[in-house]
Amino acid sequence: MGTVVSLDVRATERPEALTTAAAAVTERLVHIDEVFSPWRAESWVSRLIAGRVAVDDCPSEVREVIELAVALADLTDGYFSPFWRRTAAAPGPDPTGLVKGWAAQQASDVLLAHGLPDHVVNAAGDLVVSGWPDPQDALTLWRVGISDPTTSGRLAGVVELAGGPRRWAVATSGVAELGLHVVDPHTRSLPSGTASATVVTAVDGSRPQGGAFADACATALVAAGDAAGSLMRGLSSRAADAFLIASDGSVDDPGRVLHGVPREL
Amino acid sequence: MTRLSRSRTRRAVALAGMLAAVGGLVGVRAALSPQPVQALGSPGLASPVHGGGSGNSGSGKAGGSQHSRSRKAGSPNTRAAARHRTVDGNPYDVGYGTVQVRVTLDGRRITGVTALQLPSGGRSSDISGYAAPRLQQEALAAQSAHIDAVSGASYTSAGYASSLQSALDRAGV
Repeated sequence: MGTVVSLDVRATERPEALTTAAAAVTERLVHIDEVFSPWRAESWVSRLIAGRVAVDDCPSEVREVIELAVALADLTDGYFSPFWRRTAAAPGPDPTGLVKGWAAQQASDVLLAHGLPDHVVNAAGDLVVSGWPDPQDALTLWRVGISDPTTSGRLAGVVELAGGPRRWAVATSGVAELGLHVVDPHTRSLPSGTASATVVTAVDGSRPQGGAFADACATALVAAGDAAGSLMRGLSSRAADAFLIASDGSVDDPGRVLHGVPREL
Repeated sequence: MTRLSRSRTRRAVALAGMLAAVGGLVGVRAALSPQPVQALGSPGLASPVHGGGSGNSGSGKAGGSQHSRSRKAGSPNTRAAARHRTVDGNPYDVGYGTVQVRVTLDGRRITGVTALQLPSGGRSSDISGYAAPRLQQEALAAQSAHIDAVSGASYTSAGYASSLQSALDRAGV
């Protein structure tokens, strides 16, 4: 079991830079796994969840991620919450619901640092898209297919994103992740109704941790059950577009994000 | 369409632990046109099962291990372009079962990815059953000239990714 992170780099020169960059991304992701994996008993996050260490004992990057998680719990009316599983055995904060999106952006940061601005990082469905899909044609749009959660092997539609110096984060959460971190923190039970939720946001100065933000919001929308619609509309006022796909296949997409509507700032 | 002025690199980094795992695995394989480069990360949870895997059209080699490979630029792919082949990846032991995939190709184009072996029983079979279609979908969609990436909720298996990568290595794509 595990998460596959794939890198798709559009480069016009210097193939050797790709090898170096891939090694650097690997190193970063290995480190993130060692620090943040709740499935490694001795990771900082595991010890934090178990209450064996306090947040202040943790390395700065763990503290920053926990702070992000707390802020996003507030932003999502608690439907994303680092305390979703708070029990006597697990009293500490658990940021797992946003670490995948955060890690995708960390990998993208490494690629930027290696002079590779045109790329997609895909961490098992949580993406960071950067630069231009075709460096020789600035008008070409990124086209991100969205899995149909009700029919395996099919796409529900496409999200189109403008290329440019900005980055985008796209995160999809769904019923497949139930039991790990998609539990309604208010009721502590599995939500029903929403099969998947997709969030699209820019990664920029006003939202420097867009990867984590998108992941947490997508998680929250699936956890919100019947409240997902109103939560989604509330998020749109915070420059995060989202849509929901219900278990019957119907799509709630007030921002017209799906089916090829170009997304421009 | 040749892409001498633009190279695309696709790498899959199998990172156990972000969703569910009992250990860690990082495997990185770079496919860089026209010259593939392979970078190996640390082995871990998913270990090759010796003696598995096969290819049936004279490309790649049978047997378990992954070695770095180089392909001369300008190797004759045109004759292979329309050739249908089936290539099996290595089987991988993921602790609660064995994972092995089979890839079908027309020349260099992946036309299908199926699971020959998946762990079964209990919750792991639910996860395995869900993971296989997702990764297959991504493998197919990513080849489309019209889709850059796929976003969808999924579990992925380190063993599945490793077996798929070994099949692609063997197929020379």
